[in-house]
Amino acid sequence: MFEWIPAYQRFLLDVTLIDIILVISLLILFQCGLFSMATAGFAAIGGYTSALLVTDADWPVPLGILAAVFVGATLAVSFGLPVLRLRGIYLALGSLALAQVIVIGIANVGFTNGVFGISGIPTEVTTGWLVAIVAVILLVMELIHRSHFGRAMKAIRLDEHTAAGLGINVFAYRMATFGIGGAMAAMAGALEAHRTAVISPDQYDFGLLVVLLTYMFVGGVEHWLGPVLATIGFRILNENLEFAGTDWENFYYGSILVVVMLLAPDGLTSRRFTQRLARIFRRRPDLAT
Amino acid sequence: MIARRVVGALAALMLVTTACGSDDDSSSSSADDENPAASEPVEESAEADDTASTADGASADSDAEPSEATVVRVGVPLDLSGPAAISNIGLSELSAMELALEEVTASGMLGETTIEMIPIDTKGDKQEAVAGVLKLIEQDDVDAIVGFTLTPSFLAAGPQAVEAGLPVIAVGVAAPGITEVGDNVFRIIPQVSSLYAANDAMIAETLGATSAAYLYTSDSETTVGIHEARLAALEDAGIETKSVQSNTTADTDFRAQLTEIQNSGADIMVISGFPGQFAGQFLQAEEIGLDIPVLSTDGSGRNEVLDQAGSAMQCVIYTASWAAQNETGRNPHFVEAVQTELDDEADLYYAAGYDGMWMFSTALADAGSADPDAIVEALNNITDFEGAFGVYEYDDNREPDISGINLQIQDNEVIPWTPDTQCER
Amino acid sequence: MQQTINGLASGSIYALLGLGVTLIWGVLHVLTFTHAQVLTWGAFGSLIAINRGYPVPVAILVGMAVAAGLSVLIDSTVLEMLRRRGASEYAFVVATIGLAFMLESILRNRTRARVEPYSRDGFPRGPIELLGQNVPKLQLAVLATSLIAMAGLAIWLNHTRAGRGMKAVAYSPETATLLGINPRFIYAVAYTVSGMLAALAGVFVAVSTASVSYSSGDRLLLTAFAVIILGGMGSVPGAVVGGLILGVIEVYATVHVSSKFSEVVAYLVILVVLLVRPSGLFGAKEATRV
Repeated sequence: MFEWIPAYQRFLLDVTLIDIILVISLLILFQCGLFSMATAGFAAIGGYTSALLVTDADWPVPLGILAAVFVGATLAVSFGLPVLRLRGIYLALGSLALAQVIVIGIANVGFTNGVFGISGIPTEVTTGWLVAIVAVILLVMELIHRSHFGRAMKAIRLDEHTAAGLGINVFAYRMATFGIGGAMAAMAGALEAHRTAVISPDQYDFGLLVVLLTYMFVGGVEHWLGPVLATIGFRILNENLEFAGTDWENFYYGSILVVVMLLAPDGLTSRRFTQRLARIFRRRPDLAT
Repeated sequence: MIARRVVGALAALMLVTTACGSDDDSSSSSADDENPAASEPVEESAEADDTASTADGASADSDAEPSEATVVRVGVPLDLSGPAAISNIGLSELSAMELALEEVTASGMLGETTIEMIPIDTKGDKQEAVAGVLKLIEQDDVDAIVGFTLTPSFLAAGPQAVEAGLPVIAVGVAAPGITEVGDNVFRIIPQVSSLYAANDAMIAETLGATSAAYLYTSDSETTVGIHEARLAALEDAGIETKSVQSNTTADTDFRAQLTEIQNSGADIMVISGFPGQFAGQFLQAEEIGLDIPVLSTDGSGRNEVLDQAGSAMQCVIYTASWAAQNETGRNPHFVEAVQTELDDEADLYYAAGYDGMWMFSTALADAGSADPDAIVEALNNITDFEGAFGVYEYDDNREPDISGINLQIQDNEVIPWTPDTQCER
Repeated sequence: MQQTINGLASGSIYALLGLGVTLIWGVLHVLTFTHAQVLTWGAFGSLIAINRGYPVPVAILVGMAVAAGLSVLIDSTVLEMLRRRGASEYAFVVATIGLAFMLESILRNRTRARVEPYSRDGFPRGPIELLGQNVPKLQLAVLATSLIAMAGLAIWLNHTRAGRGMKAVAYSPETATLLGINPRFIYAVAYTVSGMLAALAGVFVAVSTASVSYSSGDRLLLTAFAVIILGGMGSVPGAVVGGLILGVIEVYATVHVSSKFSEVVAYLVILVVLLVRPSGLFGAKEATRV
């Protein structure tokens, strides 16, 4: 369906779509007030689950990806059960440690081929699949956004005690969201493995998380559209500006994060920020009169 | 995790000689090498996949007409930007390729044919490498690819070139499994793991060792590959393994591992690591009183390493794939040309780029056309190629038969090592 | 025996870092992801002083001044702005991650990503005979200096006005203000002390490898977090004990399991403590549950 796009541009489109899934997996957690740093770990679990099942056990690719989703969700739930009862900062620290243990574990056990990673992974994932998957995810996100579930998530993010007072089962919502987030990150990892044909432990590093955080916060955490546009925008900038991969790349991403946190912690599209902007512009005429 | 990212940078950067080519952790790219020692299923699939597509694709693609005044277009994917440590390597490779191309053109060996190099920056990133090579194939319509700085970039993008049926000469990469990607893939830097394996047993025997302890860096595919090959080779030679210790690229304290090695009572210590960590390792070994002979890794003789470690590295022996001390092949001319033309000191990466372009030009002259099959055949048939790595040719697996050169550190100088070399500690 | 000393020596470096992180958490409830960078900048500060020919004690003080200055600068600019707008916890985490990336990037570019030689002249060298063991003098110096610094900190916290002020602010900034203590001053003091301790750790790391690079402190950030989780977040004695215990566990993991396994010890400690006893060894219970 998308074969008319030259392979080069199609490849860029595909990896952007995969990034979108990763960003959404982070966003859905954040919309429920959860700040998790385990995204890269779940992506690694997904990539390796599917890659190993397909190359070693000869599973068909779609089944491998489904298995990755299942493993990601299971892991997220079993980690979330104890940790989600704790204060938010413990989730941040615990999830960071979890991601480290996963990635170092993969690098040090035999059946994953250790630091050498896995190559020659069948690349059956096409642009058509990715477009369909992303479309479904975004549609679901929009439905959630408009539903009771979405409003409950928002209430929990803004003030969990009030939310609990309103009869929302905060813990259950968080567990569900955490499971979905883990499943989505694992799916993105699996899709990436089947798109680029090679994976290795070191690609799931802290830098990946920082890039995803940047996309999410620049896009804003209230609605999925912002982060999606930010992901696409950054990809286009990356391809055209020469800073990608340079020594200053980390500096740019770092400073963007700092500036966004200072100006608009909920993201540049957040209502709080746009209203502040509006106030500033409205004040000017006042001063003139 | 910050650590991991950084690590590589540290590692890559330092790793002058060793397989920096294949070291990559630093950039965000990801690596994937075939396992050198253990045979895991991975290899087969890669090979099966790629070779199949090669065979068909190759003959179909022939836009080069022989015997006319043709321009042969060579795609040169290298990591030219990105972390300084890596981009310096890529830039060295590129300038040495340009130097070689000038020499080739001046020699008149290609007759009417001229070579046009089309460099593309793969930015030390796997995805950029795939995109860049696809662009070279589709938009620039190149006849061959001579390039690649990092192993992960190659493993991701190489199959694209193989599928297009183009001859590929991998310039910078040093990991095992490179040429298994396809029947049309050749390499310049020999795979370092087998290089050490070939020399270690002889060195250990000369030292009179019957047992060994190992310290290796466990989070880079380069050093793990080297370590596994060395351990297997020494065990085959009857050297007993007393202790195996590891560290990560971000570690600064190696005392626990070194104390274990000392307590193991091994005759020699074999270190497979990166230059950025040698100083710490050797100084801490000296401090705890560990004074057994050491077989180290290429890069041990770098000036900054010797500056940092001082006398702690006296008598350390290591093997290098390329060394200025090598007097064979085109190396003496190459060392001088880099000095006069590029105003720099020759190193492994200049050597790799230089030999890459000379190798392709030689094959092109032999083949008499830019037809991919003819070039591949010519590369397979080259004998006694004279390059910066000495005199070599390709074996049946398209690996160069470069034997390397053994070196020793004495009084903060690097000298060639032979079984007769004496060293005072 | 030698291995226990190895563990205590690296553990005392962990404790120095953990103390800095735990002080800031205790006073400001901020988890500083910039701490590893503060360590590295401090080490580079002392390197510059050493290369200019200053004696070692002066160079260490220069390193401490650089690290303390950097810490206070971070606090009085970005973190102060976040506090003013009542930003939530995650905003501090994300902003300090961003700052850490910026700081690392600057050093990396300034040094062209090279590993710089760090002269050991003037630092203790060689082994000393102790209980029939050859113990490196440098390790003993690290251990002794760290313990003195920690003891000094404990005395200062409990017996000086500024120290008690810090405890008051940690308990409640509002109450402290009523008592005539300026919280902003206390924040600056906390960042100064934490920066100085980090710089000390940075110097030790640089000396023991005779080198320093932009990434010297990277591995230690999560280790410092493991220390304070183990000791209890905000607890000063917890950070000391947690650091020493973690150092020893890592070494014993190398001896009895494998050096590969010791890589994950710090992360496993975080996970296990979170599952079993989230308040850590010395932590206050109330802070840990929602």
